[in-house]
Amino acid sequence: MVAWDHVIIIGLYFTAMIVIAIYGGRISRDIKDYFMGGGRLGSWVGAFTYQATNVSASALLGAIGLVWFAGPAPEIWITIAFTIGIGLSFKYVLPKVRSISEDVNAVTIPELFESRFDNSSSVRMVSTLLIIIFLIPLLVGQYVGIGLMFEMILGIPFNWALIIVGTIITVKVAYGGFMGVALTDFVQGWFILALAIIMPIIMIGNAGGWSEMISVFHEEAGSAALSFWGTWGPMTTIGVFASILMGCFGIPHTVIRFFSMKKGAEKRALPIAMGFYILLLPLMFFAGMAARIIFPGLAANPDLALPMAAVELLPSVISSLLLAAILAGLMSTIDSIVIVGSSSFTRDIYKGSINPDASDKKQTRIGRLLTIVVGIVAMIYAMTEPGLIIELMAMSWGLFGVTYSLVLLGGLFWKRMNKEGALTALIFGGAVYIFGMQVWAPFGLHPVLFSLMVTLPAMIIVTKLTPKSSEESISKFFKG
Amino acid sequence: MLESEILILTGINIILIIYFILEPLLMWEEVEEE
Repeated sequence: MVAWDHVIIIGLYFTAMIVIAIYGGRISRDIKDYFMGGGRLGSWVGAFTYQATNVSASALLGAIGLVWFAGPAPEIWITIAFTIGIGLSFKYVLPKVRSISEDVNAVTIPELFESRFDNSSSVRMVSTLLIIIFLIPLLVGQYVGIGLMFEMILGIPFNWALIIVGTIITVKVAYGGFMGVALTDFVQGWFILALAIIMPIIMIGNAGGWSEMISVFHEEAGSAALSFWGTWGPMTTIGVFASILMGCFGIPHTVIRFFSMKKGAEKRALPIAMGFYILLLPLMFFAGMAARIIFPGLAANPDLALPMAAVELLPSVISSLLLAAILAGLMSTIDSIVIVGSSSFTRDIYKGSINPDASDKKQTRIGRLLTIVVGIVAMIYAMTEPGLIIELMAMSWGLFGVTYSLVLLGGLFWKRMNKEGALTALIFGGAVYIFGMQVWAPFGLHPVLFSLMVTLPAMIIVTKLTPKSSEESISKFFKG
Repeated sequence: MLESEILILTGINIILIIYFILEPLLMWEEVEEE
């Protein structure tokens, strides 16, 4: 049975998002606006688009599912990693990336790497390939979240849901570009905040109140679930902590937001971003515990606790809006990944290697076309093997954490770092990480920690053994 | 009662967030005064 009452309100919501995105497309003046907002975002839109992009399927569905079965501690560790990662990257990485990307006229992260490392096309190509290979699974993971939600909650078959939502998002991104994505993220951010404030109160109330919830959760989940590491144990928790922390410095679709802020907006953006985050905490910590009491039989699919609670506990108009807010969280991640994917294809592959003289107009046209291609590929991919993809989603975070983050942090803060060091981090770091994940890691270490322990020294040694970057490259990144 | 360990973690988290909210705000005023 299709739940038409929800479908109609969600349909209206989608229509509003498309209108806003098209407005964003109309106020975009050139290729820089289309791909990264051309340094025009103020602190509010900048901070909201960053956080709405960060709050993905993993925060709204995964986090609550995680608390449902492992207790709140792992999720609290995850949010501590996010707090430190976001705080430090806004404070130290954002101001540098913002001004340098403006100076060197970079539109994508691989372009920024290229200009730091002696215009090395190999650094640019390898980093572009990493985006294309590892960002698409992250994208697909979000699509799977949407498909499941539509199927289980709204009664629309999984594949149909993918086709409908995929088409809407693809059209929105193709015509709205980055400005469209940023403006819709701003609106969607408010929806997410409303969800985060309403749902924990309603859910804790339905679970019988605070102390009742704690004691029943204790009985249901056991005391391990209410301990310092939760049922995950220290090894997994520390590993996930490290991959989130490192990922914050290098995940391409969030870091690209640093390129797009206005001069001076960065100082106010951090308190806004953190204010946004603090409002999300009760949702992430307590909704999963309450859900364990309200829906004790959810073991097969605890990820759907939040949308189920919205539908079952609230009148249909409000729950439809809250479902739209959950979708907002997923969509604002999807659109950001799609735009990073298509800008990499267009700037780093098409303009970088195939047609270096392409005009801005031609690049925008190619970008639009590639957005549609990326959208369709991800949709089809999501229809095939969702199980594997969830695994790949976790893999993407760690992978960018040991490759992009090391190159970006090294490039920004270590003068001596050169292209050989960057290639070591990108290729060797990525390879060790994948080996650690798929084959073997010593002492049961999390692959991120294993890769960091090996890659960081390797990067330093290779850099020291090879010539410095040219003064010209270094001077663009280190002034005075 | 919620285990004290969880409360400690949550406390650490909130202190960190407040630090990141206040620090740039205070710094920002200094810059403006200059």
